Order: sequence, then structure tokens, then C-alpha cells
Amino acid sequence: MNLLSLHALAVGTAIVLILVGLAGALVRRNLLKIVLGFSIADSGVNLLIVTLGHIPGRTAPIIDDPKLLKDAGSLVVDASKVVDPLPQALVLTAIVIGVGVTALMLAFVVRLYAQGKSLDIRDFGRLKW
Amino acid sequence: MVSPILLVAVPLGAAFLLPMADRLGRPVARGLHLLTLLFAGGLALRWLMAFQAGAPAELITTGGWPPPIGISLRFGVEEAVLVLLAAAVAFVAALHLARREQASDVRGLVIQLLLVTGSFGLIMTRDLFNVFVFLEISSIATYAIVAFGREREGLEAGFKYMVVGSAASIFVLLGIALLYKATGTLNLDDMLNRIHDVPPAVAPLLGGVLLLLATGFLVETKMWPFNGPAIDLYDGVEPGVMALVVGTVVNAVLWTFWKVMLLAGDAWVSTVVMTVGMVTFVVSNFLAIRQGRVRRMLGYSSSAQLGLLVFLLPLVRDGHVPLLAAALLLVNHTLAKAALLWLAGLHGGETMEDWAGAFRGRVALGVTLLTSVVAITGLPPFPGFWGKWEVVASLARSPFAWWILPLLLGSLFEFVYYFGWLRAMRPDEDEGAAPIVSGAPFGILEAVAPLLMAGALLAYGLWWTAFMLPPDAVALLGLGLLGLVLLIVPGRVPRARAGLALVAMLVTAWLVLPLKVELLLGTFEGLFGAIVLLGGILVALAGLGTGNERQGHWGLLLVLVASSLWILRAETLLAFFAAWEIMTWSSWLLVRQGRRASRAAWLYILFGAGGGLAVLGGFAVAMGAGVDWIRDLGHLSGLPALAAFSLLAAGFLAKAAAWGLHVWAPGAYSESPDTFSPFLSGVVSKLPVFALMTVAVRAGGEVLGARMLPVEPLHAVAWIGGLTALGMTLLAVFQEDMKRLLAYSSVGQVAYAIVGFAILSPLGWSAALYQVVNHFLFKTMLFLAVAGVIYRTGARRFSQLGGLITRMPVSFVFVLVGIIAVAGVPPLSGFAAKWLLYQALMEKGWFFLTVVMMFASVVAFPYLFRLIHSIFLGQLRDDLRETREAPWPLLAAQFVLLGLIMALSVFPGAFLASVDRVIAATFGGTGLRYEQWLVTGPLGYLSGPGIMAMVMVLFVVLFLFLFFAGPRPVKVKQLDIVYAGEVPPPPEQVHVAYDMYRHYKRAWEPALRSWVVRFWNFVGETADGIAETGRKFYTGNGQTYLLYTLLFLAILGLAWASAAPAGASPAGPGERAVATGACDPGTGPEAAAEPIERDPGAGGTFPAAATLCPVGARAAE
Repeated sequence: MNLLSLHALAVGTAIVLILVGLAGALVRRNLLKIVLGFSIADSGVNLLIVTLGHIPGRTAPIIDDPKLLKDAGSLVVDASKVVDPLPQALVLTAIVIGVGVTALMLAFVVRLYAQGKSLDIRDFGRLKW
Repeated sequence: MVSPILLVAVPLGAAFLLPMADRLGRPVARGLHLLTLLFAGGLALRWLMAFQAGAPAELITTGGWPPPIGISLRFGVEEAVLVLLAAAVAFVAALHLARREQASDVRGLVIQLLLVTGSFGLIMTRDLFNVFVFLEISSIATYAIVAFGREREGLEAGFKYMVVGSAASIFVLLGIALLYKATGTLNLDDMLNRIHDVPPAVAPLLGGVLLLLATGFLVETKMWPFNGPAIDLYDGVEPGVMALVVGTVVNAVLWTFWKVMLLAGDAWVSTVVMTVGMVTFVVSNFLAIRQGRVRRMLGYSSSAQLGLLVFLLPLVRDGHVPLLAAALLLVNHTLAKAALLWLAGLHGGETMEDWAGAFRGRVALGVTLLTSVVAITGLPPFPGFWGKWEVVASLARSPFAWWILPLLLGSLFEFVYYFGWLRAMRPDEDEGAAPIVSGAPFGILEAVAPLLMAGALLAYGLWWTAFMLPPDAVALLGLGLLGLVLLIVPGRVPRARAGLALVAMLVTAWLVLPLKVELLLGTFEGLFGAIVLLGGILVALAGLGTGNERQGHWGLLLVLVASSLWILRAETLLAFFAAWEIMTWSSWLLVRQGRRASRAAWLYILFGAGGGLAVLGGFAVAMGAGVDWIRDLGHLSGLPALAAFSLLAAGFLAKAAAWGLHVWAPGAYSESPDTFSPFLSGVVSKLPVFALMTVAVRAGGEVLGARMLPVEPLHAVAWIGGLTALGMTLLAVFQEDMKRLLAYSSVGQVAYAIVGFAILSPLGWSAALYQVVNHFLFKTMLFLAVAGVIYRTGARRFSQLGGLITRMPVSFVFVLVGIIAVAGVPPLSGFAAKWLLYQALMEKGWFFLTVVMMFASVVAFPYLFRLIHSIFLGQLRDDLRETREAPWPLLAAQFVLLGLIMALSVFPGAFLASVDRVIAATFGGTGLRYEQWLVTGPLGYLSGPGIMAMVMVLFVVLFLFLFFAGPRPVKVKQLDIVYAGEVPPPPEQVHVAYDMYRHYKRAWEPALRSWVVRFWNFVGETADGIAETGRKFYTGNGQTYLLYTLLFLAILGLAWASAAPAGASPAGPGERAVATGACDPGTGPEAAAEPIERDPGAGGTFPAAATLCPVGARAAE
């Protein structure tokens, strides 16, 4: 299998994940499942970003092999041998933020359930118009 | 100097230190919190001063790497202002929230600091991924502080807010990542340079990516249709917290959107952002008119104001609107909304009904509320006014002039609900039951918060106003400031205040007015200025006698007098409009002080402010044609001239209560406080006449008819005037309340002056000016006389009065003279006015209108007779036997007017000869000749002394004849009536003054049915109905809101994809002017040739509109 199809597969998966996540958040009435939906969509976005930094034929930007160094003496990476490291750094941050937001949303769900004894989003629409 | 990077580091560090500091005691934690905010504000202020001195914007690099590799932050003037604003609001919010949950727990303090940190980072960062991080930090902090409240509503709103916010984060993150992919950088300044060198393979998609990013920010800034959860948040969360959020995160997100818009030079994205922004402004304001819950209404308002700012983003970027205008609007909204939210929190009322009697007895808070509402609706002197004017002025000169229409429309809706709220706050005195006391008691710190904001608004606004005043207008400024002081300083000593106002106006008159009579009457400014000041002085003199005015009365009167004089002296369109609007709101506040003026005041401000918007529209047309000075209005020609004049005339006629726009007037004139009605009817109603004349005069003397004023519209104006005169006089006949009668009479009489103006001949204008002075004199006198009667008897209805001639003989004489003057019969001054008007009409050839005016004049007799008959003649009622004559200051004021009426009656020629000098200068000739005691017009001559002598002789002869040869009078008792088997009606109804003209009323029934009132009721009800249905859009279900968000993106994406060939070109900054259609290359040759110069580090600095869009491009027609 060539790498191009892997790339396409990753992009496809990411888009599917985003759509599935948003669809879940849109149609599921359960608060927990809505939160879950956003988590899934987040994962899709993260996957997509990692894929964006991917360059066919290169390896991860982690120095586990001296061959990745420009010359043996220094610790400078040969940029032509690794993929773009920036998206990966971004995704790490995005994952952390995603966890934070998910935790906060779950905290909301817990408190909403404690007050309303329901997990159905339709029961939480008292403010309107 | 201290590095601005500490703005992120210090609050973040302090946030983590807070729990430890709390171990030492809560005061330590609180102190640390406040100190941190003080530090941030001080740092921003220090830098601002440095920028003022010419320091360049600071570019901060982090991690030892220069940009574009390391993250960089920028700290320039714009960032410093935003940081200062955020720090100030956060500081005051901390004081305000001190006793609430959000601050009683140290975790609340931590979250507040995180909110501030995220905002500061968001404001300064120049790295796109960093934008995402800080966006999330601020969002998480917002969600967290929302969750702090105990109420379930807050939690619900917060969850919905998170649902939509999460979708927005996904859009933003995706957009940023794709942009990185396309340009290979995350540094904003680097990306600005690279964005037009994207590889061709990616280029077509760039527009779509930017659209995605822009949509993310449209959601983050709570635009329609995504504003549902944000509005819920206002409804469900502690208002003090929302004020904090508005002051920090909301502004920071908006500024970030601005940075993103720098990238998105694409015409497609710009159009989408502008459209969504303006739709938000109009729709949110419109839906708010039916909103009965106060905090929710404030939410709609926030959404609308942000919509206006978002609308401006692409325009500011492309140099069509100066950044300063948007900045003024932003500062104005932040301060005013924070103040309003805190006040809403202090009062605690949820629905409009809860707000009845709010802050009664708490003058400082009441004034703060009024200040904030006047500021947020964009009235002068507050910063929002100058911002809005600048926006309209620049739009008028740009190719986007049509956007002014929805802008004005949205502003009108804004007036409807904000002033509706104020109306609910002061219900009529006999309507409400017990006054509702504010909710929870509050401490001084909490109350100080809104005061500080309103103070800042006022100070900043006055600072701006000082630049706009005419150079020699220190006296006006002094008068206005004294008024404000009188308004704010507590204490109920109305007589002392009236005395102070009297002295102040006398001094002003001495300083401002030319002291020679010829000069005074020989100019428009002098003539109207004399009316304004004399009216003010006499009313204040009367106030020495009454002393029952509300606290702000005399202060507001000074503001009103100052603004009226300013109107007369204004030379630029801006100065005129500013003064006009101040006049509108100060007189509205005075009307509102009436005991039962709730509805009247609301209608007054709606039509006043609506008329103001029409004037603004007229000025916008003029500015679009390059006119900035009133004296240049004559440069207009063709269609713009017609449009500008029609709009101006509509605005001024609304203020003059012309037929169709008059529904506010009877209520306002009659329900005002008794000492203000004379001024409103005598003086304020003359200002629109001045405005109409001055616009016409400055349009240029002899070419008046040809260039500025096509004759046909003026014929229509004349007919509107005629209809007003006839209709209002008819209605006056059937009034049962003496002030209401005078009110209708006022509207009808001012219409005479409008007809005179519209004749547009020297004779017509002589008649108009004569009528202006005449009506000022007799209507001020009549209203003062009536004020005296009400002061002594407490009664306003005719059936409650009668026979007062023996108790109030002096007042009787004044009223008698007054009604003869109104009636327009010899020997008094009204006769000369009508004599002039009929001649002018016939000279013009408008014979049918002459007949109408004559008929209107005759119809006035019955109502004038009622004034004398039902108040003073007949038998004295039992309950009025102890009535005394009106207080002497009231009589003294009327005596002055009486003297002037007599002078004007005997020597009309002297007055007319002076006035003719103005008219001669305008028309190049006059229609009258003057000999010693004789005025000769085209159709005859008038001799004041001759008429007076003749009438006196006849009077004496008839009097003597009747006295000696007439029949003996028979005395009848008041209720001397025989019932022939009928059931007697209640005694009041048998009173002869009760429904006196009922027989005529029956005959006139069809003519009296107020079609106009029905029309306006229909307009109001229809608007209400649409708004009521429209706001069902916000279903309250989080998933519906999410659906709107996703649908919006899907529809937009599809539209973009189908329009791809046009929209896909990666419009770089260099091609922007062409891409946005800013300057059509065909009409503005320089425009397309010159690319916009940009300093990559300078973010917001762009060439001014003038350099971007040369004059040639404006003449698109």
C-alpha cells in the first residue's frame, strides 16, 4: 500500500469523525451523549491537523535515530527527513484544552442533573424567546 | 518601561497564588486580586502615555525566538486601550461582586483573574494558534464563572452556551490549521505577507477556509442567528458577572475577529461579515421591543451593539470607516452596558412591571441609569454619539452608503425598547399601587460601580463635546455644566434652584445676545436666541412662585436652554445635530417629570428621536455629496438635494408636530410639569421652524427655489401645515382639560408658521417670523396663567372650575388678552400675523389653502371662549371660594409677556422692519413697505396704533351704552335646572362647562376620528406582532441553536462553493480595494492603481478613507 492512500484514509476518517460527532451532538437528547459527540468531533479535528502536517516518505520528528540528525556532532534535525512537527505540537495543546472543556461540560451535566433530575436537553429550555 | 508581557504573566501567576494568599485571610486574597488589576490598568495607562508621546507599538517576542518562529505579541495603542478598559471594568466588577458568590469564594476570584488573563492574551497575541489557546482559556473561564451561580437558569444557559461555543471552537481550530497548511506560518504578520503567495493548488480553497474561520468568529461574537445562548446567558446569570464578561472577553474576542479580518480580504467573506453584523443589529434590536424581561432585553441589546461593531470590521479594515469610530462605539457600549447590568443586579427586578418606581428616592442611581440609557442609544454628549456620527459620515462618503438605512432603522428600534423600559420605570402616579421597593439591600461599593462607569462616560463624552462647541460658546458650556451640576447635586429646594437657573440665564443672555435691538431682531440667531432666553428666564421666574418641581427640573432646563442656543449657533452639520439631540433628550426628561406623563414622554422621545434619525439621514445624504457645513447645503443639487431636504423636513416637521406626525404633541404639551409646558410650547416648538428656515437660508438666497427647494415638495409642506392648523384647532374645541386644549391649540398655531415658511416668499416669511414671536408671547403667557390656576386649585378640567374672576382677577386679564391675541382679531398682535399670512397666500396664488387657514382661524373662537368662560366666568364653585390669586412671580412673568404683546400690537411695523432685514438678505427684497405708523403690503395696509385707537373708542362707547341703557342682569344659580320627570345625571354633568360643545361634536364626529392615531397604533401593533412571532426563533433548546450554527455554515459553504469562480480568488491585501468593490476602477482611476500601504507590524493602522477612496470614486451616480 502506498502512503497516499493512508493519507486519504486519515483525512476521510477525520471528516467522518467530525460529522459523526456533530451529528451526535445535534440529534441525541442525552446531555452526556452531546458531550461525547463534541469529544468525537474534537478527535476528528485533531486527527485532521496531524494529517495536515504529514509529508509522505518522512518519519516522526522524534530523534530516536542518529540518521535524522543533520550531522552527527550536533542535535540539529535534518528537516528534510521528518514530517512537520508543528501540527503535532498544536494537537497536543488542543487535546489538553479539549479535555478541559469536556470536563467542564461534564461538570455542568452533573449539576444540571442534580437540579433537574433529567439528562434530556429538552428539559433545560426554560430560558427562551 | 515594564514589559507588557507581564499583562499575561502577572494575572496568571496571581491567579495561582490566590488560594495560598487566602490561607492568610480573605482580605489578603482580595487585596492581591485588586492589586493585580490595578497593576494591569496602570501598566496599560503608562504605555498609553508613552504612545501619546510618540513611542512605537511594542512587539514582544517569547522563548528567545524571533517571529515568525517564536510566538509574538503586539502592544500598541489599540491593545493598550482594550487592556485598560478590561482592567477597569474587571476592577470595578471586583468591587461590585465583593459580596456575591462569585467573589465570596476564593475560587471565584481565581476565575475572574483567569478571565482577565485570557482576555489580555487574546488582545495582544499575534500568533494564530495562540489565539485559539487564549480563546479557549477565556471561554473556559466564562463557562466556569457562569457555573458559579446557584440558579438553574444560569447553568442551563451556560450549557447551551458551551454547546454552541464548542462548535465555534471546532470551526476556529480547523480554520487556523488549514490556514497554517496553506501559508506555512502561524504568525499573523508573517501570514499577512504570505497569504497572497499561496501555492496555486491550495489557493482556490483559501476563501473557503477564511469563511470557516470567519463563521467561527461570528459564532464567538454572538451574531444572529447564533445569539440565542448568549441572550439566555444574560437572562440566567448574575448581571454583575455578565458586565465583567462584556468588559473583558467579549471585547477581546471582537478584537481577535478584527485580526482575523485582516487576513480575510476576500470580498465574499467581507460581505458575509457585514451582512451578518447588520442583520444582527437590526434583528436583535427589533426583537427586543417585545421583550418583557429586562435582563434578556439587555442581552438583545448587547447582541445588537456587537453586531454593529462586527459590521464595521471589514469597513474599518478597508479604510472606509476610521478605527476611532468603532473604538468610540466599543468604549461606549462597554461602559454603558456594564453600568446597566450592575444597576439591573442592584434592583433585581425581572420583568418590566417589577421596575415600576425603580430607584425612586435614590437620585444618584436614577441619574446613572438615565445617563447609561442615553449613552447606549447613541445620544450626545456621550462617546457613542460621536462614534455613530463618524460611522454614518464615513459610510455616506463610501460606496456603502445604503447601509446607513438599516443602521438608522435598528437605532430606532433601540429607542423603542430602551425608552419603553424607562417608561415602565415611571408609571403615572395614580396608576401603580404601592411603589415597589428594590430587591435585596446593597452596599455602597456595589452601588459605586455603575456610578463610576456613568461618570467615565460623561467625562469622556464632554471631553469630545468640548471640541465641537462654537469657539465663543464658553457661556453655553457653562450653562450646560451648571445644569448638569444642578441635576446631580441632591437636595430638594426647587425655589433656590429656580433662582440659580434664573441668574444663570440672565448672565448668559447678557453674554450671548447682542444688546442692540436691531442686531437682536435682525438675525435669525438673535431673534430665536432672544425667544429661548426670554422663555427660559420667565419660566424660571415663575418657578420662584411655584416651587413644586421635581429635583432635576431646573438643571435640565439649563441644559435645554444651552443646547437650544447651541442649535442656533451651530455651523457644522455635526454641531447642529449634536445640539439637536441634546435638546431632544433634555426636553424629554422634562416632559417625563409630569405626574401622568408616562405615555406622553415615551411618545415624545420616540417621535423626537425618530425625527432625529431622519435629520441624520438627511445630513448623511448631504455629507455623501461632500457637504460638512450648514452654509454649504446650497451646494447640493438634483436628487441628493431633494432627498436631503425631504428627510430634514420630515425630521423637523415631526418635532413641530405636523399633521401625521403630531400624535405625541397633545400629550407632551399637556402632561409636562406646569412650569415646563410654557417653555415646551412657547420655545421648543419654535426650534424646528428655525431649523427649516436656516436650512433654506443657508441653501442660498435668491436661488432658493431653483436649486435647493423644488417648489412641489414645499406645496405639500404648506398643505400639511394647513391640515395641522385646521385639524388641531377642531380637536382643541372639544377638549375638557384646559392644558390639553392649549396643547392642541399650540400644535395648530405653530402650523401657521410652517405654512408661512412653505410659501417661501418675503411676505410668507414675515408672517412666519411674526407668528413665531407672537405665539411664543401669548402661548407662554396662557400656559403660565393656567399654571397659576392649577397651582391654586389643583384642577385641570373645565367642569371643576368656574367663576374664578373674582378670586384671580389678574390672571383673568392675562387670559383675556391672551385669547384675543390667539384669535387673530383686532386690535392685538394675532391680527397682524394673520393679515400677513393671508396676503402671502393670495400673492402666491394658493387660494384654497387661504380658505382653509381662514376657516381654521374662525374655528379657534369656540375653544378660546371656553378658556375665559369655563375658568373665570359663571358662578364660583363652592370648593373654590378660598382660592387666592396666583403667586406674584407667575404674574410678574406674565406681565412681561403682556407688555411685549401690547408693544407688538401697537407697533407691528417696528418689529417687522427689523425682521425684514433678515428676509431681505435671504430673498433680495421684501414684500412690505414701512412708513411711520403704517405697514403696507400688496393687498392693503396695517396701522397698529390706528386699529388700537379705533377698537378702544368702540369699546368705550359700547361699554357705556350697555352700562346705562342695557338690560339689568339676572342672577342664576350654578345648578339652577329643572328636571322634568327625568332622572338627573350626576351634578358635574349638569355643569354648563361639562362637554360644552357636545352638539357640535356630534356634527363633526367623522372629521374628529383620529385616523392618524389609528395608523400609528396599527404600526405599533404590527411591529409588536412580528417581533412577538420573530423571537420564537429562540426556542430555548440548545440543540436548535446548534442546528442554526451548523445550517448557517452548510448554507454558506454551499453558496460559496457554487459561487466559487468568483469568490475563490485568493484576494490578497494588495488587491483588496478592487476585490471589495471599494472604489470602482471605472470612476476612481487612482483607486485601483494605488495598492493599500500597510505596515505589517502596525495591525490596525490604515490610510484614511480619503486616501483610499478618492473623491472621484464617490460620484458613483
